[in-house]
Amino acid sequence: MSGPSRPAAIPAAMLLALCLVSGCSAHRIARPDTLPDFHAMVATDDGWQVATFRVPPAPGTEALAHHGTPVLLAHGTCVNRMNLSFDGSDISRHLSRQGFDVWLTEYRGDRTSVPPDARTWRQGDWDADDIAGQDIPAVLAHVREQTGHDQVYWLGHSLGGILGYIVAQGPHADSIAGLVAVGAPGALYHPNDVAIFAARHSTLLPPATQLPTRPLTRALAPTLRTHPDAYLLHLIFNVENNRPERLLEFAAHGMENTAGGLTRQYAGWIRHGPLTSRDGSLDYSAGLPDIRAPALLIAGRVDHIVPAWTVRYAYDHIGSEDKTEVILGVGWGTRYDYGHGDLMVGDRAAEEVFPIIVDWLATRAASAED
Amino acid sequence: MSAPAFAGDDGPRPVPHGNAAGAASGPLVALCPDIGESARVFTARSDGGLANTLERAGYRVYLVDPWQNAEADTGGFDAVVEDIYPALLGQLAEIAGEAPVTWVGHGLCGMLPVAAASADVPAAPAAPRWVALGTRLDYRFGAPAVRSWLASHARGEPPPYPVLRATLLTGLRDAPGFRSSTDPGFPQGVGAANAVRIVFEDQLMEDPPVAVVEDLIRWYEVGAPLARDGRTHYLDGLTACPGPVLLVAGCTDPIAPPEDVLAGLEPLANGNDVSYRLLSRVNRHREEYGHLGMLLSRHARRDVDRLVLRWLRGREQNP
Repeated sequence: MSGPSRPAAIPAAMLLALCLVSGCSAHRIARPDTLPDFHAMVATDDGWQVATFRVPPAPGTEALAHHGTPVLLAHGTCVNRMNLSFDGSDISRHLSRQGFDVWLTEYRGDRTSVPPDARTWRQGDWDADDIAGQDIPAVLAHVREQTGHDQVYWLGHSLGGILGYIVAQGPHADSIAGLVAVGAPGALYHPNDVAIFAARHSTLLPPATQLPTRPLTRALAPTLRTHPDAYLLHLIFNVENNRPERLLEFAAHGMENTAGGLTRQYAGWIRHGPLTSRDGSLDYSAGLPDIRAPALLIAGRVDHIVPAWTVRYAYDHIGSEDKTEVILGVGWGTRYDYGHGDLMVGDRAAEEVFPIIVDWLATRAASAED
Repeated sequence: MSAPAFAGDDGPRPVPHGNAAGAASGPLVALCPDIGESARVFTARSDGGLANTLERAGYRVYLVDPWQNAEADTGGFDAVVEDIYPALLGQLAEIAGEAPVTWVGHGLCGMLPVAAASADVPAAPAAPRWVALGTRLDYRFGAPAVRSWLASHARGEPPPYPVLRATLLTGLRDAPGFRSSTDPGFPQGVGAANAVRIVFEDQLMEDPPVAVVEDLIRWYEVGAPLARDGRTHYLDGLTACPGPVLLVAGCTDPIAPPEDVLAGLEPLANGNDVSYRLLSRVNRHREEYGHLGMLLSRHARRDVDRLVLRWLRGREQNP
């Protein structure tokens, strides 16, 4: 299999050029505390501060058995918390209305975060190991302290789901009551042509950089209106599940830059298959059998970022006795097949995806209360 | 071509396509439909379908149908594996002479070489090469639409349109111009899925053998394709399956989703020449192929036929 020629090469070249010319660093948000639902900045052991947000249980839900159960929402790559709180398909408020105490976190490198110094910010040399090993433990400790609950439920999309796998097999596994991973691979075997192309060319990235996914998306956003079903856009979402005007709004507010370190880590995963730490010393895919928390895994039928077979890998290898796999596609009962972005921000996510998650969480949380 | 032509007094028989019967030599390809389909599914496109593509490339093409006969109707999959498939292969080998035979199966037909290779099945002549188009190799997870499709047939009722749409007609595109999936010879202006449905229901749909439908329902219930005696697991044949193989999965195919095709890849790859290809826009195909689309879409010649042809030619060059 060879990589795509024109369709992918042009944007890839643009990305590289923009990266080299701009230096790529995103501008931080000076006052995250002014953002809706902001709760607190949390300090990590290595000197970063990451933002947490909270959507408490809605009034009138006190009688529910699972009322007040904390759920921590973890977003995906290139995006921020809007991935999970986008107006019109807002899982955070959906869960709040069902009585859950919802927490969202952003990671190092998101514009709400505060780096130890400006150089660290510019270099973009963090990865999933840093987020899972530094940001998440700090956030988990904060949520536990604030809620008085020893355990929280984890809901992660894409990278957020991978982080869930890592945390649930590591030293903080006891903090996880249950794991919902949406569009999150257990390994990246059998990559498609585009992924192979991207991984191969990731070596062209400058050693210290943030990938300018935020400005690039904003620059290309008008394409969403004129060619919503274009090849590269189709990789990310199925146009049948997304109105272009909503995607434009998401592109304006929901995107973040991507750390060069994380990008290189992804490239290694695509090249080799297993999800490993960047230095190769830890194999998170091999650690999936160590996960004992109940798990719900959701895959999109036309998700080309995290194809269903990579979710199946997680399902087959997770050690939990209570595990469920759900595929969202026409043959499985949804109106249209789901792409990667659709799973959380698609037009029908609130109608077709969120109830599956709520039912699963409510059942587990209520039985835990018993 | 009518259905009885696929069976003689002594059981199912291969039917030559085009001038295959008159051709003296050359590699032979047998095209075998899924249950519920006529073998004409390989010829129904306006360009003559996969059968025509292969014939024009110099292959002797035969159509076979192991499903439309009384033995399959009562004996189920066991009878097809133990009696019908070996008999068909024997006839094909006789016709082929020294030339190689390639078995191309759509859906369940693509599983026959695996099932025949499972340990407890009496020895059958092995297909030297086989291609599985949309063939499921893991029965743990049945899509709800597929189970509804089977339940309809088990009741003796044709599946209602929503079930047909969600089972066989996924991935077909209504996009304008060249992106449309609608074959020029199919009804126009009714939507791509509806156009295929009309042609399928009018010309290509067959009642699947009831006993095989019951077998499939049971397989999904227990999560494994077991013979009726419960002792033979038909996918055990994966590790013993001979010959080079090409597995092709449609991205949106609920009958054989990619993850349930890939499940067979590792055991098959045990020392064998095994290729796998996902039919998807992400691999530069024109649509996210579903079960019938891989044979009946306007784009199938470009995306599927050529893939099969390229694989076959690769095997001729490196036998």
